[in-house]
Amino acid sequence: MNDYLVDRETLGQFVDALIAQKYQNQPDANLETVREEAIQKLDDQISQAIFGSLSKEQLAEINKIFDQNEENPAVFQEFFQNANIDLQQIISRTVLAYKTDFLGGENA
Amino acid sequence: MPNPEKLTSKVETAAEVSRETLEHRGEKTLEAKAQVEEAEKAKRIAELRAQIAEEDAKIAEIDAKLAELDAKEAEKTSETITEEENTTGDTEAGAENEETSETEDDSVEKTSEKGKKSPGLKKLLITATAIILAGTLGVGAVVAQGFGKKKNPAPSPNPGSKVESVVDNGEEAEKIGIYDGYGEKGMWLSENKTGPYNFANAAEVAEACKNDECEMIKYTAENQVESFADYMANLPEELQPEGFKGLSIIETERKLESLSDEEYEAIQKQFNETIDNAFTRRVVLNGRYDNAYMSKKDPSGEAVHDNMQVVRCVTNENNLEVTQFFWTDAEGKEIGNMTVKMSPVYDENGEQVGFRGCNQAVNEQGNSPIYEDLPEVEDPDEETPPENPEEKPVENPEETPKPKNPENQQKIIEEAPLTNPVEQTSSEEVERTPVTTEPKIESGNQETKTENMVVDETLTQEEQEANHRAQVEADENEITESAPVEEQNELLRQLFGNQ
Repeated sequence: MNDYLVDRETLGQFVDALIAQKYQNQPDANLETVREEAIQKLDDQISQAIFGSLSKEQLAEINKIFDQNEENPAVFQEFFQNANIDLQQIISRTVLAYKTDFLGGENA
Repeated sequence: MPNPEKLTSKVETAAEVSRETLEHRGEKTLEAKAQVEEAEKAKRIAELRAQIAEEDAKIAEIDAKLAELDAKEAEKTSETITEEENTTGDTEAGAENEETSETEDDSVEKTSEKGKKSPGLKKLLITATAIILAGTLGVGAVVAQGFGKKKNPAPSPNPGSKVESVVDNGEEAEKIGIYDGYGEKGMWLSENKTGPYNFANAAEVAEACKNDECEMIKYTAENQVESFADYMANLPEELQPEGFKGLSIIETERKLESLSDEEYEAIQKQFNETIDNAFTRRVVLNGRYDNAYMSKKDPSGEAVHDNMQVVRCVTNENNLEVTQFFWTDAEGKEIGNMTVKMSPVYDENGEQVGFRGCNQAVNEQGNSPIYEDLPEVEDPDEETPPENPEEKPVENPEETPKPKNPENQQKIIEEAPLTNPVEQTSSEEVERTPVTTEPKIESGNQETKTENMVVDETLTQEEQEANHRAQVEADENEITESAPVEEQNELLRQLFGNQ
């Protein structure tokens, strides 16, 4: 399995779209490294944003859930709801910031 | 007479007094003198004290000024100190925060690593991120680049060209009419199918998906909820999404149809990922197999989603080379497989040039509970019986030669059972891992109750379906439900002979 929090395919498609936008005049550029780093960075930023919004107690709590190898997404949904964490908002902000940063502002 | 002694005493006393008086006077002079001196001293002291007081006043004044200056200085110092303290405080606090932050970061980092291995959290994030990422790109960008239309293309060394390939595939698919716009969550991919109940025309789907079998599965599932349900139910249970494990095809379809769009997309993405992790190989089908097909509920009605249903159909396969998807665990041990009727088509040089078939998953007849509760239809392609039903099928697809004339092979397989399977099928091509032999059913089972049914290709689909229904009814009148398959086949042979 990969080491991504977010589905790598989804991240890859998003990054591809950004790369196509940013490097549209360089179709022959070898962007594999850029792509891989971008995917990893975006995943890391989303991950940091999500878990960074949790208190120590909440981190401890979610770690317990992780330790139980919980497969039911509803359990995590309930956890974030109880923690008053708006996942979509956090991800949206992170992704938007990432997009702006990646495209250098003016193209974002 | 005076007493001399007394006189002497008096004289002495007088002298004494005189001396005392003198002494007293001297003393008084001295005393005055001393008093003057004392006064002068006092005056001097007073002057000095005044001077001291004056000096003290000056000192006090200076002190006051100094105090004032000190105060001002103190104020400035205080401000500076405050600033410094603030700075220092910040630094110290910063250091403390940094420590805390480092601690928290460690914890966040640890949690993040755990989170990346959590199937439950990852599932939750699939939906959220997919929607947000698509939305963040903007509708124009999403549409222009095919985001969400053609999912999960094969890894490419050049992401630029990868995006282009996505665009090409999506546009190409629409251009050639693979997705005919019936919409909803499920529909025939095209009216141009090779059989009335087929999920799709594999040739068309293959063209749209550049002969990538994984893409073909995903594409078919993406545009037909019925086929999506079929594939999902056929996945190894370990790979089925939570809530879909062990469900029959009809249960899977009902559940899929009940999902919200977001949930549906999430499940679809999970399914796509599972398919992308599959290996493929060629296997050869021989015998009777359960298939899930699609049919109109009302044959005279339109081909719209509400009028469609998944049905069960048993087909007779004779050395039909198809694609089998399989999955392995971390140690490479196979954990399950799914066989789909995507049959390779070869050119005259034996090179694969495409696919044909109906894209249905198949299972040996009666071995899988996933077909429970499905209405049954008869196989419309099974109009001609095998001329030599006792012919043993090829045991190992690796050993079967490639067809000398693939066009003939295609025609034969589509229209009639093989007379000599050994000469007409092959599966030398194995992708990624060696081919394993698909379980086979005795060729005697190839004789069926429908083997003599003639399908007139000039008939419409509705007419063919009506014919099949009539055929089924005829069959049911002749065969008791409790009769075993062999017994039924024998009865059919007696009824229809080997026409």
